[in-house]
Amino acid sequence: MFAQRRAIAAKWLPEVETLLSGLSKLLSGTCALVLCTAAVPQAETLTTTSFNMYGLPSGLIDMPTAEMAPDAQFTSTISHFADSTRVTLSFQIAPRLTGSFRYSAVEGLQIPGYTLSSYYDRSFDLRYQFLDEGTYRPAMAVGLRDFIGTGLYGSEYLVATKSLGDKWRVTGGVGWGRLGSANSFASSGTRPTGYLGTGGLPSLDKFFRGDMAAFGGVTYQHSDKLRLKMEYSSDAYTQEVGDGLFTRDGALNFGAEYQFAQGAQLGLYAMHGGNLAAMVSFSTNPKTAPVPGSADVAPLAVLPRGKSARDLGWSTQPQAVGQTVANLKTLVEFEGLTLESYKLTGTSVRLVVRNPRFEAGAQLLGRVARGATRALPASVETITVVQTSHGVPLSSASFKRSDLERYEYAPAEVMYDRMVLTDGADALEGTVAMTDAYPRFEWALTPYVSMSMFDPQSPVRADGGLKLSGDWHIAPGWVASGDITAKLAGNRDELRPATSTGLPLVRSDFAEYSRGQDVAMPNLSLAYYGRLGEDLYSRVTTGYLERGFAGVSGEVLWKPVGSRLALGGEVNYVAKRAYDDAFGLQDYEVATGHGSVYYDMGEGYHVQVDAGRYLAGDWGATVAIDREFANGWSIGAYATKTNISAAQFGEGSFDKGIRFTMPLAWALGTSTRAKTSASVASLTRDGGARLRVQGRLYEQVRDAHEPELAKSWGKFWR
Amino acid sequence: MITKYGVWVVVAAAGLMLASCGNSPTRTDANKKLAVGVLQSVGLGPKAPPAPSEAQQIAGAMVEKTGDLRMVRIPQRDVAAAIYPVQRNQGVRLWASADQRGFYFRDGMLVATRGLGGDLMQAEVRQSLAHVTSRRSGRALRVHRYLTGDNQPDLRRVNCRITPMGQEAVRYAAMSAQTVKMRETCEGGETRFENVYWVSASGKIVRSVQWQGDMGGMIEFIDIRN
Repeated sequence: MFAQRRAIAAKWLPEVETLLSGLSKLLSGTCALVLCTAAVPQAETLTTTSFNMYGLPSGLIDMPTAEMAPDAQFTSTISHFADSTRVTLSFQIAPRLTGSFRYSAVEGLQIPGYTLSSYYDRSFDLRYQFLDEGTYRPAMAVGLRDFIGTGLYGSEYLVATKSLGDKWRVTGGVGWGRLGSANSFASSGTRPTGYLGTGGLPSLDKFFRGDMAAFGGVTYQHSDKLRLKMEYSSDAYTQEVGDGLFTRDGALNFGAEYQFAQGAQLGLYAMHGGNLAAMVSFSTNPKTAPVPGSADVAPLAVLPRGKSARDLGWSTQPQAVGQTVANLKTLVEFEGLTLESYKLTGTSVRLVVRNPRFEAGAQLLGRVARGATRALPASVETITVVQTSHGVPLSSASFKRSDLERYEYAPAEVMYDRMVLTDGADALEGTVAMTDAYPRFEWALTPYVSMSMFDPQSPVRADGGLKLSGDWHIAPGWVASGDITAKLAGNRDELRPATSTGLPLVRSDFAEYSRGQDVAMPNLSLAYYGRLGEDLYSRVTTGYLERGFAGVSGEVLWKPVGSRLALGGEVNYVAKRAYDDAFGLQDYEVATGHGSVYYDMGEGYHVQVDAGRYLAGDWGATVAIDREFANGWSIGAYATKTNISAAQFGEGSFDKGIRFTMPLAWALGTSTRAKTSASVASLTRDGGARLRVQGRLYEQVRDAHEPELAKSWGKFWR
Repeated sequence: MITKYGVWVVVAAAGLMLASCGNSPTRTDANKKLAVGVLQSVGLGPKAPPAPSEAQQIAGAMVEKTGDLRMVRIPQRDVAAAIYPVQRNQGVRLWASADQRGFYFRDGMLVATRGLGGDLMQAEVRQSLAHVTSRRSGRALRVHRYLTGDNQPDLRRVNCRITPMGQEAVRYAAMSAQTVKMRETCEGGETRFENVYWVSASGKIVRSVQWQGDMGGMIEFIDIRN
């Protein structure tokens, strides 16, 4: 849609085009990736860029295949058929494992006890390709559809797909549940019925039970853009047909799909005898970027020292020292960073630097170290860069100046091997603070949007407006911050009050906070960040911590600089805030807190476990698994189970959701640490709810530590 | 495919983001860049100023700078700019444009770029260089390093064949030279390119068309002064 405006005046890297390809990649696919998968013979997993009506990679229409999407591909699809609209997010978790989350609306479905005109349903799918395609052997996969939802789409399948040349693929499989409902040929035990309930728990007793039926189909890839499909469906659509949503005439479906330039797809289908269906899909892949390596301007070059004597006389002349420091400050600021303090001796320099710019710490180190060579007298041989967050040192990276001179045009790994990275606990000792580093006041006026999803009355609700934020950095470690929001439009306050579950109202009443309140103060707090010693970090925050709670929050984190493992503990004592009075409190106080384990498993997988007491006083644990990319993307899922029963929790049985973070630098093509995050969670309930205090330590600390630095080390010389 | 109504929603949202202000770079700058891009995409917002013509650039650079000057042309992006040498280290000379794009040469052969996007992080070209500057045919191995979209090293090894193509006089701005035109054809994996160099009798590359990578494609360099 932006294509006509692409040609713009001469620029090194047309920023608009970059941005737009970033945006359209967000919305659509990466053509590079499509070309790649078309060009590279699939020696391992059998992949496709096609999606089915359930939003899973598939060369068929309503039926699954054994195909996978290319690794890490993230796809959203919207399909419509027989008054059913399905919106699905799919992620290729690993080369052989696809996971999907789906939100469906079926208009006119008669569900006992359900009064709205549309029935809304959330469901999760998994598919695993357990056998590679061989010369004669098909690829094979096993799949679970709607395996922890209410079971509306509940089914399991075993499926095989074989490619015949470049153009044809043939699929055959056997399904249970919904996929075993038409023309079943056998049965494996009795499948429990009564699929509707609170949902949210794996329906283990149903898996691969009951009637079985065969399905299959053929895909014909006519050209790069056009694909034709035909399938034999084993889904009887029993309830939809029974409720008169459509007439199912036969088991055959036909369709055609068109692939747009940016990877967006449109499919049109004739289902079960002439019923029309349509699907659109948009894909992106965090592994590829609109501008690989970014379009940041060139870094400062190393200034090699001459062969002349390295006289130390300068270090006793205050004027020479003052000039050197002024130059260092200018060069650090040239890279968009701030020099907080320094220590300069005759042979070494230590630069304590704040990083508002670079997502990749390696890029920061490379740029600061090179800049320093241009300001330092020849006798200075050791250059140490200390990264800070809120004025607290996180790590200390030392380089030999002669290595920088010698290896400026060598592969980046050479400098990695020569860097000495240590814990920064003592890094501020003996440093001289820059006079303009503290105190300082930062403020921003930005738009905001807050959304809530899955209210059956209106599946997506949102408030939007302006947010004024201020942070007063009083001294290293000390930050006073406040946010004021002014709502300009929105309908979140129309949410009905939640039905009581017997738990204290800690989250389910969030609409009360936006009712009749256009101006709010979500945060007004004072925080202190510090080091308790080597490997230890601390935080204490007090005040109005979030929209719902005020009180005190304390945290300690253990994270050695080279470790993939971190341990944390957090204790909070908070009171519930008043709905309409910015400073008032309600009569509910709770001690809440967690012990946390963070572990970087390698290969881009990260796990976090938090166990402790939640806001409603319930005890339990949260497990989160994310796939993280070196460029800052992460996509993951989490689940929280506490000691309240599924019935007491309400719909969904326990809290769970998926979450993703996109670095804006990825979309813009120039460095910024700004990120945008979103999560898709179950209905907001009171069980398993955590305090949303700002400034938790782990994410701040790990960025400056070895596992994270190593992941993007290639950016050292960038 | 944006409907009229849709355009206004986009414009309103972008306008709000553009209204972002403050002194906190992480919170406001990205918002603004995003908003400007969105507005430009629907035909509104600030327009990029027209780039000066090649002749204007040469004239300007020759007045401002003494010493070596070189013109860069990236036909794929409709870019032409003058570059000048700023630093030399380990036999590599960095040439930069006024807007801080960096081109790194080893005796006229491109070994790195910075600021083009999809930058050539580093290249090992010594074998090719030896054949090209001695104006003789031969075979060479080149290694190029890039970064993937996920910041991972992307190493390309290519085998090259260097052949003289005959004499040619090169004239451009204040430079003229009698040269031998050298062709370097490289291939390895999915990568395939053909560089051309015009080499003077003293072995100096005065003009060249060299492959930067997937994003920059072929770039032409031509000396402005002898």
